[in-house]
Amino acid sequence: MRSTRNPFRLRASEQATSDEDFLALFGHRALDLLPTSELWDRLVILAYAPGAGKTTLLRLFTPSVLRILWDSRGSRENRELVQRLEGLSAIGSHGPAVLGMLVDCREQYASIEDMALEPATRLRWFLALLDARVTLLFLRSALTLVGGRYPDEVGRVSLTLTDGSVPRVLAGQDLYREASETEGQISESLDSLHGANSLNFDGRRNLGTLRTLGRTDVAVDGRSLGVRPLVMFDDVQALEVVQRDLLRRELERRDLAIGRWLSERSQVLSPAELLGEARTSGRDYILSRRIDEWPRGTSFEKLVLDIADRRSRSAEVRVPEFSTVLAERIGDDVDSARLREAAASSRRLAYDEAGSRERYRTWLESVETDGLTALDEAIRWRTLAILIRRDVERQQLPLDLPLELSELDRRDESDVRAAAELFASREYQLPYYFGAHSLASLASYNVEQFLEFAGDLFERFVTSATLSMRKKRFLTAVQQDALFREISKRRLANLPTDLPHGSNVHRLVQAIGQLCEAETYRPRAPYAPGATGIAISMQDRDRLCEDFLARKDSLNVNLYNALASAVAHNVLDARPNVRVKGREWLVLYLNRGLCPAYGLPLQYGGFRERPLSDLKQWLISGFVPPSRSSASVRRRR
Amino acid sequence: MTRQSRDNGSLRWESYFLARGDGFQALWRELARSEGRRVLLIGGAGFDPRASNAASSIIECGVPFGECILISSDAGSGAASGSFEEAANENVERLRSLVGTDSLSVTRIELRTPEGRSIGGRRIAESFSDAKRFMPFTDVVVDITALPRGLYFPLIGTLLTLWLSPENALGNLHVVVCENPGVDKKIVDEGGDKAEWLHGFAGGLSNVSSPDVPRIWAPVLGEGQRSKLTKITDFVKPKEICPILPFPAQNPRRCDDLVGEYRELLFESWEVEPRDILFAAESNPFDVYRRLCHLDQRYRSALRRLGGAKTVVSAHSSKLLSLGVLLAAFERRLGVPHVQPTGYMLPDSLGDDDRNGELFDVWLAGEPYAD
Repeated sequence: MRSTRNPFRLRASEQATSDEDFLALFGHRALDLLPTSELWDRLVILAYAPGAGKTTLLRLFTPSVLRILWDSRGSRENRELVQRLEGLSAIGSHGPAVLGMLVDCREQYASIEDMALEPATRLRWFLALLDARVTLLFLRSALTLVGGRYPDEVGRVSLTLTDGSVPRVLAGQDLYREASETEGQISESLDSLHGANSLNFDGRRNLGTLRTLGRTDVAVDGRSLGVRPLVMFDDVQALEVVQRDLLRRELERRDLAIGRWLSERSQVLSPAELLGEARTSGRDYILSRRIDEWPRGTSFEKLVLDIADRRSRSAEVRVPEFSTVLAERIGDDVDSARLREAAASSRRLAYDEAGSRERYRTWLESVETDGLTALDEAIRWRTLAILIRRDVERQQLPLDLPLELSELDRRDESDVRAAAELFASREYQLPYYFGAHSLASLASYNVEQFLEFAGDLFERFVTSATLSMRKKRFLTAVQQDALFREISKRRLANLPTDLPHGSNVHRLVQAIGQLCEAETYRPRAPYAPGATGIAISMQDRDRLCEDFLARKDSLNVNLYNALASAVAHNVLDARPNVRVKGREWLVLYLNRGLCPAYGLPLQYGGFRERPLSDLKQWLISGFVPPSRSSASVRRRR
Repeated sequence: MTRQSRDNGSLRWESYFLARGDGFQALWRELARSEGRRVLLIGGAGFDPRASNAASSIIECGVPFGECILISSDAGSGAASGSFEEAANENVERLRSLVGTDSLSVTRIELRTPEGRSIGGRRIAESFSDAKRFMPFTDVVVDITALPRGLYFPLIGTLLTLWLSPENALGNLHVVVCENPGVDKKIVDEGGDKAEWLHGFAGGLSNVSSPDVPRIWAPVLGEGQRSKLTKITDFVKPKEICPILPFPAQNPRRCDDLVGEYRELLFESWEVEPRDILFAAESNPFDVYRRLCHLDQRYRSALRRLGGAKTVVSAHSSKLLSLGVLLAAFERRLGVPHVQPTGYMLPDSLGDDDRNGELFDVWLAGEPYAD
């Protein structure tokens, strides 16, 4: 792969990078997202947020990529990937074992629904166009696999139907002629500036090509390719609902003998999804839904760090292992005097919280004798301050007897310590967001987002590496923290221009962020390590969708549009049917990449339930913090 | 009838007619001298404060409108939408007082369906596809000042198709716009969901039956378009990118500022070679038009033996420059991707000074081109 200044800016799946470069950048662990069985026998649905890497995954199974991979199977870089694909039966002993066809569902199909035709005719046009394109993609893929030229050499391809007593041969030339005519006529009609449709065409009643491909032997120059057809439908959410439903019904047919995958943006707030038929999961299709539901033994962090290593190795300033660019600890860049002051100040706070009560004497003494570093001491005292505050606010009995150390141990959970670390970072301006784990978390299970953050880090690293005379080059915790906060604020500021209904999305996110900040920094840390989202009841969600469909009032429509846009574009991470206190909730977590803008932790967990009326009010007038008697955690001088 | 691209190297608008500023008034005073002139105005019923400037100027030059059709569409649901509606109503009333109530009609064209699908382009093409509608008029003037790109591209494409069809004997076709880069900067697009081909301008690029040839993308750059440019990159998947920068320009540093704004996108994400950056005059759409036509011609010729290439063009700058993109795309059947914003924002509110601008008349068909 050629060297570039900042290879994190390249986006391998979407841009026309060469197949060689694509393979060099591909992170193998993405294959963990595919089911290991029934990959070829049943409809597989990949439902992810945008930027999660689904198109990259599909591109791997296209013939040009598999061909190059096979040709370079002996190379060290590709050996592991070849083995993985052999394990999936995508590569055999003689070469690629699948004939992948990638159908881009963003191209024109949805606009068929705008034609002045009967609804049933529109669906037949849809099937006709899709069927024609699958045929053409099949011919193109077959030629690509053998290094042929499309469409000039379609005559070299033939299909032999194997399900009858007498085999029937379909010539590539005839298939191409018929399919290209159909495509041309429909496509021309769709893009016409001549007004009313004049094409007299009835369409198709099914995806006949899919059925044919499953019963045929594909040959080029009379020689069987010995491959299994695989049709991959990408960005299916771009289809209209009726088209999507029809396509899924076609693909769920158990008599189809080809691989068929369907990738779509996950849609938790689609009224049509909500009000449509209940789906029988597991019977007719396999659903691979969320990047955060990764199989045991693997992780998103490993995937993205692997991707990062590949990219940083190809940079002009070569870095074999990307994580070495990132300091994992607070080092000399933070003045030791500040750390000592933090420890001292936290100690004072703990004693202030305790007051003159005997109840906490044992606890306080235990920390006095711990012999920790200044930073650890600061966090330890801060933890103690939180625990004491919680106890004080809960305490009802007048007895002032010392609590046992075992009680401290019981209450001293990792969440509380995480909250303490967050509080200390705010109070004493210590770096909080740094290290490879933070970087992976900030990506919010989104590969594109990871590349954006890592790209900015790498840019800073390259600049400082160029200017620095030191041998050891890395970004300090302070540098990383500052950069992550800057990127986070920039992403927040860009929401209005980046997203559909962006100004309302921005308003909502601001309100959620400010609410979470207010709740997180309450001195007793009730949602330790912090609140990073809100929740609406599932009933409210249903009502929102129903009111949107009924177009009841503009505020409702605006709220729905803003929420749907935020969820669809991964600004809010939606988790439906979360059960809390006997009710079911739709939890809406802030994208982790926005958390630094509000000083929020990166762990998931804490959220605040809110009625729909609050969200509507936020759209009108923003978030108004409640007045509380206890002040929030603030910076200390 | 299908639209064929001109591939013989000659340009339809090799010689062109463009009037600006004082020349705009001079043109319309000249046109006012001929008897029996009957003019149809098609414009936008939008919130842009410059919306009625062209109509007002034409009337002042002594040319009354026989009919005025205003297109209204959704300006979005943001906080500013209330003031948008108010401003749009004021503009309509201003035009009504200029043109007369009996001569003015407002046609509503939705930009998208309730499900979010772009539909405005198709609907406006359907609404204006009958040549008979234009036969009573000597001049049809399309004022794009207050029209969104998703509407005026298909509208002008439809009209050009009618005008250039030999069986229709139609009069003059003008496109007018009131330009003010300062005001353009104040009207900020909200984000859009996805990139798609403008209606009528898919350029055959959706077709799988075509050879899988390299796509050359020439975006005409303007400020604050990063999000759209990224979405279009993902959609088009270009092999090569030849950005066009506006130069010469009113602000002589505009090119430098744009390169600074898009540095990372240009040189790290897109890996544009400096020699592939093109320049076109900010105030002459025919300069952009020529450059794009020549670019397309050059790549097709150079790569003919390797199967050819397909050119894609997009407009991210002023409406005046977007006309150049439109003409090139229309003539050579190029693809034009677009991200339809869901609304608009006014970070700094518009004031009385923002009504000003320079008027341009781009005369596309009729008397100057009669053989």
